[in-house]
Amino acid sequence: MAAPEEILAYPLEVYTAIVGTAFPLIDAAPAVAWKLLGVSGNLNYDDTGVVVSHAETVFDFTPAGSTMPSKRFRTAESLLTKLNLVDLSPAGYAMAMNNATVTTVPASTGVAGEAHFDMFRGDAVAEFAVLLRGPSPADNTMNMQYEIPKAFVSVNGDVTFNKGVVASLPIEIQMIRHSSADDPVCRIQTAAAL
Amino acid sequence: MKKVTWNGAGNLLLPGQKDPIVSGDSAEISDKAADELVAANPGLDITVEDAGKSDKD
Repeated sequence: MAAPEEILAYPLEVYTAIVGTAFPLIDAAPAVAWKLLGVSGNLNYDDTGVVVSHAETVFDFTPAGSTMPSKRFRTAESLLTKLNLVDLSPAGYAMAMNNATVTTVPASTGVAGEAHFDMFRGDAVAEFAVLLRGPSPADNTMNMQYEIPKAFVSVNGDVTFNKGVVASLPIEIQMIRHSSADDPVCRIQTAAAL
Repeated sequence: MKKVTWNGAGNLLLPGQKDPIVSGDSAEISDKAADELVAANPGLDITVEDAGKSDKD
């Protein structure tokens, strides 16, 4: 990619792992514990791309003696990643459906091979560590990554099966935080290791 | 008999078995069923070993 490096137009790739999995070094390939979302990564995301949404709710204090706010307070915030996954393979679909277990039934005499999973998600929502990775805005040959220690990964919306429409899973990755150890980090590589 | 170990993700329900096995676990099936399993499912992430006993045992 060419300069200016800070201008990016490239979909991130999303990886998930068990909560507590160490994040990869910025210049290293993710370890096998990190599962790429979509069997072919961002080739399985539709062209709305990967959206990282920073939402917040604020409250402005306007004192009686003024008509303008004098102080702003943040009352809520969220980090939400959205994408449409065009991978309806059993592993991808089941992971998004609350990390359901896939049971593989191999073909045998009189039995067709198949794989199935339970679509009932229940009240307990599966948590994952999530890694989002793409080119660095400092040097496009290097990496940037969002490190999210805890997040809900879910399908929230419609899966449309119709002519002329690519069926996709609307994936939402909602960060959660129990303590400062769960704080997400945006890490941008600026130089190669010596 | 053959010992079949499942190396893939999730569970595997082997032919003739009532309950699936989990990843890393194994089960014993007849030599004939194991041969069929391998022939009919190329790419299935399993390891097949001799269980050290005959189908009649």
